[in-house]
Amino acid sequence: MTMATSPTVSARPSLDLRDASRERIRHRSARMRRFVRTGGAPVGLVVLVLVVLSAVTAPLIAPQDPGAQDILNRLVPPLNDGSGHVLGSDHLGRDMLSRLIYGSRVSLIVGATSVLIAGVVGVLLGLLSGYYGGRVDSVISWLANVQLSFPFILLVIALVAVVGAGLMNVIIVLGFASWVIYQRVVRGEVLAIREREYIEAARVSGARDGRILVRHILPNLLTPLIVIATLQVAQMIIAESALSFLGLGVQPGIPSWGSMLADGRNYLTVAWWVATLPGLAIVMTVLAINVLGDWLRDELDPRLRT
Amino acid sequence: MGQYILGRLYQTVLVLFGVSAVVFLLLHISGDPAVLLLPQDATKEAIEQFRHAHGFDQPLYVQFYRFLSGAVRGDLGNSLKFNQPALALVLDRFPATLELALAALVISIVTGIPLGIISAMKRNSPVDTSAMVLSMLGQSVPAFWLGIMMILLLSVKWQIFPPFGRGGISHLILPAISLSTWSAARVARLTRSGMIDVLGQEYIRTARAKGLANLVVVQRHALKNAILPIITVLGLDLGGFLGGAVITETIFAWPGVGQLAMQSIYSRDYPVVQATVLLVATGYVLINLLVDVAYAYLNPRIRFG
Repeated sequence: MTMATSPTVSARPSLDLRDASRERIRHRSARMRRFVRTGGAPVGLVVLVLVVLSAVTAPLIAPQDPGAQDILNRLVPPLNDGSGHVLGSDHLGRDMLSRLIYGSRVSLIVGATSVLIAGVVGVLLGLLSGYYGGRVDSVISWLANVQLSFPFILLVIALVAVVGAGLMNVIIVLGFASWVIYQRVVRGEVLAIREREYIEAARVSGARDGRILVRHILPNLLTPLIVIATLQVAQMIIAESALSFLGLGVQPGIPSWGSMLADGRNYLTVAWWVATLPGLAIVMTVLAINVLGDWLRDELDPRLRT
Repeated sequence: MGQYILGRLYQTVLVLFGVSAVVFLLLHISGDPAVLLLPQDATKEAIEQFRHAHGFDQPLYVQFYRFLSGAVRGDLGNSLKFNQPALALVLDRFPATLELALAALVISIVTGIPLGIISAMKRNSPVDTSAMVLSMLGQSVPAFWLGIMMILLLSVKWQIFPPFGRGGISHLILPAISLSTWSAARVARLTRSGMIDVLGQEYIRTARAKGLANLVVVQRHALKNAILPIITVLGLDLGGFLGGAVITETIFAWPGVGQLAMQSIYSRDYPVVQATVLLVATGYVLINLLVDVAYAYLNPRIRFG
């Protein structure tokens, strides 16, 4: 209330606004400078944008149908003249470049949607266990401990083996096998926030639990959640490619980096590119996301730094 | 301390109960276990007969009780393919996987920790930058691709290491590297940030002010405190290696539990899959228990707390 009577504020409101916006610009440009100075983050952003673009525009930019077999030009090495396969072809004469472009779709779709599922489940359970505590918390934390007792990849492989391969199943299994990290973070944060005065105030003024959770607690959790979700996308992309590599991923007809790698493994001695190129695509994409995730964490939430 | 261990034991029993429930339900998720276990072309009568013979027509809780009492006695059913106790098959393969996991753990420790320490001591130097780029890369490379690339270059092309199988040390190196890369990279990053944290604290400045040599400060004062949290991570990683070996063992034809798991999945030998998952998860839980107890013992704040 003292602010209102302060002569400087009331006398020059417009100047203050300008100061504030200037301050904001300075803040933003400092962040920009830090972003560029990390070196990796801008490169990561460019790579990720390229991967996303190629996934979205795959039918437009892919030189050939990714499933088309060119029997006369099988296992053609990359950068050769005449065959029309810039990055070479696989054992069925399918164009590597086109398959790599289409393969980005599976990786990104699985990465994004499985993280979304895990995030929703984890956040919900985290909010419940942090806010209500007691028996609810005991049960959810027990579930989390049970889940964590299975090495992630083994659990995922066993589950997919039982429910069957396929895009939807892979997404669902990955989503439901990775919720714990969100639950842990949300629970911890909620425990810390729960006792703050403004939550008490909201409760006293008659707000229901649901409203308090969604309107007052959840917004405080967005920063750590965004950071974790970003890094988890990279993990899910690797997990999907591992499943596809083992023949437990998406349907055989759909090109995915993991299944391309598995194909290439059989021709390792005669055609190195078939296994090497999809692996490079995975590494580049995952690296880009990891670098960006790291930068986000340092920028938004240094407490999470490992 | 005793109170703490008792509490952890109680927790472990509860978790193991949940773990067995999950492993039990594994067969029931997709609906009918009889359909899952029999060949795809089995007749309706055969399925019905199998269901009755194995008690799959009983209520779920009865089946779970049977599964649990069997598991406690070490009976996890028979392998459909080999007609032998599933648990015996898995235990037979366990030493190979343990050997691989321990080798990977050693690689994680001897590469990750020194790399992290050097990075922290030479913070923001080119050494630090390259070490961190390397570890970032290590966390982004899928283990199976790294394995394949190492086979391509080091086995096929230059013929330094055998490409697959289990034998002497030379057989162990490639799969162990491929298995440990992700963990080694994480250990390096954690060690670095832990060391940086510790090196910035008052008591380190005091030690330096006393005139202690840099190396002594690092060895005697900083490392001890920075390394403590990493022990927990390494324990988790050892457990993770047991499960993560599924892929590495498949690539390098390493005759361990992971390879058995994959073979059983492909041949729909689900009792063996169940036994594998249960055994690995139990191992994981017990390793964590040991690590927590060791951690409590090493950390006076918990020991006397």
